[in-house]
Amino acid sequence: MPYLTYIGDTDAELSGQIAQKIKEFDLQVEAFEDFSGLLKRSAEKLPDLVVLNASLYRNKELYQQFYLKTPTIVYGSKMPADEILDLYYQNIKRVVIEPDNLPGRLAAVVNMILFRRNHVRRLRQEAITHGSLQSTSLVEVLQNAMIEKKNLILKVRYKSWETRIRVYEGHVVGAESSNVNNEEALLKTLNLKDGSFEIRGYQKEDETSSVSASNLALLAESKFQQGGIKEFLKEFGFGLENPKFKVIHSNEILELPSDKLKVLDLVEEYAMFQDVLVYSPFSLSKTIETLSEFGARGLITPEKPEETESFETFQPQDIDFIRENLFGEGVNSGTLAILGAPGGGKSRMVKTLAGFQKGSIKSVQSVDFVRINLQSNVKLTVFGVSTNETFLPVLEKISQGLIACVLLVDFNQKDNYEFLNYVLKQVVRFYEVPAVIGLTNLNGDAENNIEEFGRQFEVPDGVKVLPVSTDSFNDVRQLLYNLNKYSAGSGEGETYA
Amino acid sequence: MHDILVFLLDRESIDEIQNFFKGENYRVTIIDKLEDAADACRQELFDMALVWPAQPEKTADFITLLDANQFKYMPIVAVTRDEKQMENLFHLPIADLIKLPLPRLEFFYLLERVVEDIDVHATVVEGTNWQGSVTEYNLIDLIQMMEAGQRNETLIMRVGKHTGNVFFREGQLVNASFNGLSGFPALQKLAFWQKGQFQTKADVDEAPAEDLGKSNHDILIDLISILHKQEQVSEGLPALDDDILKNPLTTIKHLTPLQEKIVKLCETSTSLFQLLLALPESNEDIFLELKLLLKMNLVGKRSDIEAQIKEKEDGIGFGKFFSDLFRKKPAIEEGYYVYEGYIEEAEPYQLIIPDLKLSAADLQKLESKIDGII
Repeated sequence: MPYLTYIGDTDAELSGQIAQKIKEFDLQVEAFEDFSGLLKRSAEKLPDLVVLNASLYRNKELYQQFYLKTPTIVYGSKMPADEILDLYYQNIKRVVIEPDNLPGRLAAVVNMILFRRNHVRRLRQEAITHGSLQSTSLVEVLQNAMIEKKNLILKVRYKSWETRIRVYEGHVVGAESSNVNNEEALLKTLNLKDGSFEIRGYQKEDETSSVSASNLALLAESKFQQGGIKEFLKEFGFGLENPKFKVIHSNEILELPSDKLKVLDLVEEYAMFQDVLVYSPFSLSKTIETLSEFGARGLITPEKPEETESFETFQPQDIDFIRENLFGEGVNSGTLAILGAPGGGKSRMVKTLAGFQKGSIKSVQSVDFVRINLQSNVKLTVFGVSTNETFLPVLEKISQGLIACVLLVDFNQKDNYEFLNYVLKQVVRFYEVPAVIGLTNLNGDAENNIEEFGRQFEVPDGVKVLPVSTDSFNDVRQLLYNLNKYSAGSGEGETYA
Repeated sequence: MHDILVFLLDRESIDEIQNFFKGENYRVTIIDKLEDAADACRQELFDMALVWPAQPEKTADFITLLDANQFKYMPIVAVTRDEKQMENLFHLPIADLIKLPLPRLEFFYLLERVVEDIDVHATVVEGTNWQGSVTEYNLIDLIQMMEAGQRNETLIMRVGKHTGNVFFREGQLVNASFNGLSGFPALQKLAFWQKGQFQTKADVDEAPAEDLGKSNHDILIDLISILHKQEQVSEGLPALDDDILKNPLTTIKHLTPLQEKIVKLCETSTSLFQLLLALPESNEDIFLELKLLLKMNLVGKRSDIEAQIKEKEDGIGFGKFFSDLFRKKPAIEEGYYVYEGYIEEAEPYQLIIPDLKLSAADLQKLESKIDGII
């Protein structure tokens, strides 16, 4: 299937020329004379890339949301440098300032960006071993390297913090990060509970080591430090793994030496305990020591965790319902996808569904995942997927075993309607699974809200809209009971309730 | 922090490059000889390579060299000041083309966009969160790591069009399947792979009902001893990637069924690794039968067979007839399989340099000069 490009330009002749050139790369093209037409079409079919004349650029917020979802190239005549930088800041892939051969140049840039986003990325995924620290422990990786005497380069990333570790013949010979190096960088990395990694073997005849400790000593030291961290958290962090702290301002702060002030600034800036450890310019042990001192002097205080919830969970009749209506005969597992804009409540809904099993929830970038054991041998896999620009390939990957789809829509985020409408249409058409819309964040009367929503959102035939509070198990249960298959043109679908 | 390889084509640009990256969050390695590129890539894990200042032909050479050395995954960014070069550079398979002069901030925005677009984690979902190259992690490594993780997962191994599955319940290896084989025979086949890809999937639903009934430790011991034996048996055989060919000059008499299968597969040039993948028999049996066939000169290394045929050809002039024998089977390429949901890549990129065209005035000048010389 060829990639699809949309062109937005008021000049039909120019967009025709651009389209002609883009088609020479065997790409599909559609042209639009205004941004609203382009947006409307995007709601029906999301393009792989958009080429937009800067003159159409009007509503910054609207555009910014669009650019986040769809890779966009903007072109125009001479533009001030700060305007160009502003566009890049808004996630524009490329700004092309009219050269002599604008259509040809734009087509070449389109082809180049599609090439790297698809072909190069796939080659890298195949060639570079990668994964998440939630599922693969770095300790296992190091132990395996040690046993097999491997030469490896490991790049580990946690938010914006990165570290690069070199392992030569199984021994760690170097570790660098943006704030600490060698042993300290490795110890910080081993303490990470979250993040991603890339690994590739390397060949070198010899290597000089800047790490004097052996792997075993480092692993032992890491274990020892983690014991210290646990003690700190027990004393000052309600025993949580990653509590949030706040600074208690007092005159005492003025007397702190500059290195300690740096740690206090980090608490102010990041609040989350793990972030403070990672971004601290000091070693783990020194940072913990400083935080302990702050805790003892009352300079920082943890935010109280939510009261322990009593979890409501799937009842036998719910499980029977799911098995009979969603899994199909003889099938003991299936996947439920919860889709929604970032921050739209999907993570909360995944937690609600997981109930007491919420400890098993894993989050990788824009995806939350949990496998819920409904009964022994009966499992419901739940994916919460953000509808960002990588949403379609992610959905494609989880589509095997997909039994149903819940779309969460924030009633007040009307700018998202068009795109979410597109998402829902694609899902019900391509995957032919029952779907339901959960409307969150309502204003007052639910019935009126749903009515108003129905006027602005093209709800596929048969699909129901229900108000939902994503932390209420009962609301979530109602969504499952109202899953309905899309039935083109019938007006009514097949309800499973 | 990103690691960047800069292929410097003009030494005068070195200050410019150093000034650009000064104080930025990039680790830069500069090389100025094409022959150093592969070595540099073998020693580091670069996020991208910059060609600076890019010229179409030299950039194409750089790309070809990286491809030939299994670094096809490296995104190449061409940096140029020459507007005239841009059209030809755009015809190359590059990740970006940056025209200088450019504000530094804009330059780094462009590099960041490349990094975002090639991010291996961008489309990764839970359940496929541990994947990569068998060159770094073979089956023996992976079994131990899966056990440590206590996972319910399927380990999928792929090379070319061949796919194998190894099923784990709470970290215990329960079964495996590959090319119609299941259980231990399938595991033996997969354990021998030294290249390909692996991927884990949070699902064991497709596992065959029966269980191997052995602990991971016992399975590993068995596999290691079998691999050791296979290594001994394979001594003296061509390397795994060497091409093997049936010898058309030798008459086949009585062959065992497995020998017949091997000879048939060797009618067109094939590698030992491809033989092991294609045949369901144990690797050890294949090695033993292949040894006998080599001894009988019924098959041989492609280069040896070619030499024998050449010798014969020189004697009786077989000529073109035998050239067909050297047609090679499509090789298993690195890159191997297409991820579900991916779209097949477009046609390969080509460097297209327009023909040189002289204006009438230039042509006349040239002719008069030639006349003058004559």
